[in-house]
Amino acid sequence: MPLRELVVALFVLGAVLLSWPFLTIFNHARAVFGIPLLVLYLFAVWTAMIGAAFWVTRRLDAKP
Amino acid sequence: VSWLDYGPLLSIVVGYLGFLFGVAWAAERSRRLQAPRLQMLTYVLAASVYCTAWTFYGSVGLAAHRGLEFLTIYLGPALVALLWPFLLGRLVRVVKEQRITSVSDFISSRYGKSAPLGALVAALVALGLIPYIALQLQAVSQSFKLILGQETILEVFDPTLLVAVVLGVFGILFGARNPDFTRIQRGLLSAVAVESVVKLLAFLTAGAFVTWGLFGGFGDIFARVLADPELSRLVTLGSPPAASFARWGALLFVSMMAVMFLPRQFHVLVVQNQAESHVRAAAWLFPLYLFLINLFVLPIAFAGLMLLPRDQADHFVLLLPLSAGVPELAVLVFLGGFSAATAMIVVDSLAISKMLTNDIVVPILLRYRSGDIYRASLHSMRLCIIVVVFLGYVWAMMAGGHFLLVEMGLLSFVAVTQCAPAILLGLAWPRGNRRGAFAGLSAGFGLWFYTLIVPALVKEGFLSAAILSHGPLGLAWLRPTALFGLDGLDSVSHGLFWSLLVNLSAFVLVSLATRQDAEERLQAAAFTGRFPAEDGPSIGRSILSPPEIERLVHHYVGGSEAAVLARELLGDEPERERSARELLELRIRLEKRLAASLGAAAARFIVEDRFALSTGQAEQLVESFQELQHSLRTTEEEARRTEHLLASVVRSVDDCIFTTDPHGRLLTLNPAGQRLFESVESELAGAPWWELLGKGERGRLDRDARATGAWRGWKGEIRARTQGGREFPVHLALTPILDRRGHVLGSVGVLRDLTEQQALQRRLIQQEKLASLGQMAAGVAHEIRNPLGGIKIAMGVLQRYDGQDVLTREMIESVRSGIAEIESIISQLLDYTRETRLDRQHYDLGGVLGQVVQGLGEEARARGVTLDLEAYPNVVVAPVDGQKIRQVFINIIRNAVEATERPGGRVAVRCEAHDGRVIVAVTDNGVGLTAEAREKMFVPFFTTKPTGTGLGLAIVKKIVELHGGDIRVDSAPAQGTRVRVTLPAGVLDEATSADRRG
Repeated sequence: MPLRELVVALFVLGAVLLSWPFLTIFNHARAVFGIPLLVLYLFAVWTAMIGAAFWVTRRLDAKP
Repeated sequence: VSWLDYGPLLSIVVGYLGFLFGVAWAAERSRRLQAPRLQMLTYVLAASVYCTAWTFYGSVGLAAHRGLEFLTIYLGPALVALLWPFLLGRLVRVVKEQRITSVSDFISSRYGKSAPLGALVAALVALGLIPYIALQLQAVSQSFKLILGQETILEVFDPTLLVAVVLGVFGILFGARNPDFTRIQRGLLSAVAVESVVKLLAFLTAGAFVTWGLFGGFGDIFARVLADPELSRLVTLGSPPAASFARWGALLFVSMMAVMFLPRQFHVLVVQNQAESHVRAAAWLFPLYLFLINLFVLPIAFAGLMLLPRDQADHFVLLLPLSAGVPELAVLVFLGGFSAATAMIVVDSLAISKMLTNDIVVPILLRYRSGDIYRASLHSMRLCIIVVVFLGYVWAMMAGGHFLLVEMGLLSFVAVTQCAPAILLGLAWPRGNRRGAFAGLSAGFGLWFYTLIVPALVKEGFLSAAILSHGPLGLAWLRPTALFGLDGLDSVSHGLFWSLLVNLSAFVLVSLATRQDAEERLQAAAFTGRFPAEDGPSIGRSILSPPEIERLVHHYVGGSEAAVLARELLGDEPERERSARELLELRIRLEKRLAASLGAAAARFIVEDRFALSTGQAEQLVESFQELQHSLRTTEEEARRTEHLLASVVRSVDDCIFTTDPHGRLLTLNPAGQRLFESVESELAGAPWWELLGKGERGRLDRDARATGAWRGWKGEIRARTQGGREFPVHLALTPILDRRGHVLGSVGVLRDLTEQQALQRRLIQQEKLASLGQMAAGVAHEIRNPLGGIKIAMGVLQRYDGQDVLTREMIESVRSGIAEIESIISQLLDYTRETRLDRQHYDLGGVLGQVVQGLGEEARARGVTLDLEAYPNVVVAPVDGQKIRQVFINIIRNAVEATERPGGRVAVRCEAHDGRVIVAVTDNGVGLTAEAREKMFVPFFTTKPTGTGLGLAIVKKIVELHGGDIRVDSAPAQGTRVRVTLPAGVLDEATSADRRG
């Protein structure tokens, strides 16, 4: 898949992961690894997005 | 709680500000600080000006009150950053190309460099942002109060004023030194970047102290939170007081737009961008920064909620170290918050002042034709910075307005989001036009004010609360927080929904309903990239001569700047002659150069106003240009169709057709030509066309045609040569292709292969030669026959004479047989050449064949050959010359017998009739004939036998053809031979034949 389309797909995926109704899956007041589930989930998605952006950047820098 | 003294704190603040000045000053001078990697890092950290005091103090406050909602402000940017390599990269390219300096400038430029549109955006954005600046100053002021305790000196002199003034000066020195905003403000960016580092470090340190110093780590804090039913509601969504999902989504969206289109963000991320690779780096580094600065927000918020009164939530991050008795940490936190606030104030006030100057002040100044507009704009910008900061200060210090300030962060996000349709659709949709943008922005901002600001004003007590509960003038469906009865949403989602819906609809519908003028079309093309770029169809732009440009520059740009600018544009030789194209480029450069300082609208005003065509004329020109383009397109289509037709003709003809360039190098060769020359086009392309000719011919053509430069073409027979070296005769017609003025564009040649034609001619000549030879032979034969008759009679007399000895008798006998042979040859010759007449009668061919076979039977048996006549049930009657046809059959059958002379040899004769023709087939299993012999067997004097004249079969063929029949031979060496003679015939029916036989 061309990178441009991939990036848009990642963006849409991120938007879905961070929105209703997907969030309701993790919307419980209980702890996982000592962290509230929703907090852990949001920070995990955040980390994944940073990782994806890093990967895209590397790919783009690799082919000028 | 241990408070600091006023004196030391003030010196720390002044020292820190001095440090920032030092950083900015050093960054502008030091080469070492300009390393590429450091510049990239500076860019990313400067972009983190996004995190203001609202982040530093407000996030914790928001988390304490509404749970996870604060995260949307940072998750949105992290999400949209995924698109930055393409979206922001595109924005940066357009902005650089057009020398755009702000959001309002962008919108004004995109929609036909419209000054009113720019003014509208500038005014509205400033309106939305000044309270936001006030919020920062208030945060600074609050933090002073908190860290100093109840110092009475604050009643007399608030250091916030000092801070505001210093920030204004900083902005002027490092931002507004040069009106050209497309230049990199390295000092400003570096100071902002350093402040970003300070605020991140301060927050992380405070967070670590709270998490591990005051509590036992994340697990400890969260365990306590989950144990408390009231606190645990804050770590989920949808249960009040935590944010609803609608609000969550709305905040996510507005923060995505705000992170790009807030004045400070646009300035740092887009206008001050130095390389596209920086955008890509920011796509992951910026979200990482946001991630880190948010890591401890929840622990601090919950720690504060557990240890301090809830109404202090906005300052937990400062109060926790203070109450824990760690003033050093409190000072660090104070500096972090101070950094966050000051960076935002400097960059936002600078960006807003640029907007106000370029889109409001300069157009007004231009209207009144003041002289040095360049310097005036610079002063205006500096003044605007002071005014903006001062207005913010005044607002912050007002007794009322507290609620509005707190809300203002979010409300300004929604305000900036109103620019998003005009910007984003402006990049993607060429039809979006000025009227649409104007309608969308006005409507969007109007609804923003009505649905979000009016309720805030009500809460402040500026307006009657009845407006909220019963609607203005008692019209319930106009209630600002439940417009048209849309109830149940929180105010931000409600306001965003209506303002964006109306904004977008107005923009799209008005754009569809109205037309663009020429300038708008050009700009739309440049921004969307859907049409030729700006420099292409620059119709509607006047050309300025260098002296005019110089006068213009000096008129609007004062003093030394003018000289620099004129030099930059005109180079070292302003008097040099220039082409129209160069002048046009010069004029475009002038406009862009002015736009970098004064904004697109003002730059156009300056350049267009004095010299250019009227809008109407420009529009006409653009339209005629478009028509021209259109007509060119149709002609092109027709030309393509004609070309296609021509090409298929050239492809399908059998003659070789080639074309050459003016130097005679081959360009094309049609398929017939490629077959003829046993080559493909690509092999020959570029070679001189005379490579197609035979070696000896090239020189000849040199003399005739090639040598003369302006030759008139050539026609004639010549020898061609294939790539393989085979030469063959051709007819060549070479015609030059000339343009209207008679210049040679190339030539086209038609070659026809003459090999077959020449072979045919040779055969005809041969036949004619043979015919005349035959006639001569006949004449000779006739002349010989008369004396031969005399010799024959004399020999007869001699034979009868007695007294001969044996020897003499034998010799006479030998002479007589020789004479007989000569006679036979002569009669054959005469038979062949003589005008033969047929004496046709109806003969039973079966009967004739029977006699012939019987007559030859003896000879065949003697040679050991079986000769059979296959019976045919019907009687075949043909109108033939019996004598001659018998001769034909004898000849053929004898030949067959002779060719089959061996034991087991077999000759079969068969006669049958079909469709009014009789076929006599003589088949043997003899030695057969070679291909050459088969071809030549009917040629006179050709023979394979040691004796014989070679006329036998020639006569056979002649007789058969005289009868209107034909003769065919199938044979191969050692395969036997079959000769078939076909003659016209009639067939008697079965009954008749039965009668005859009976």
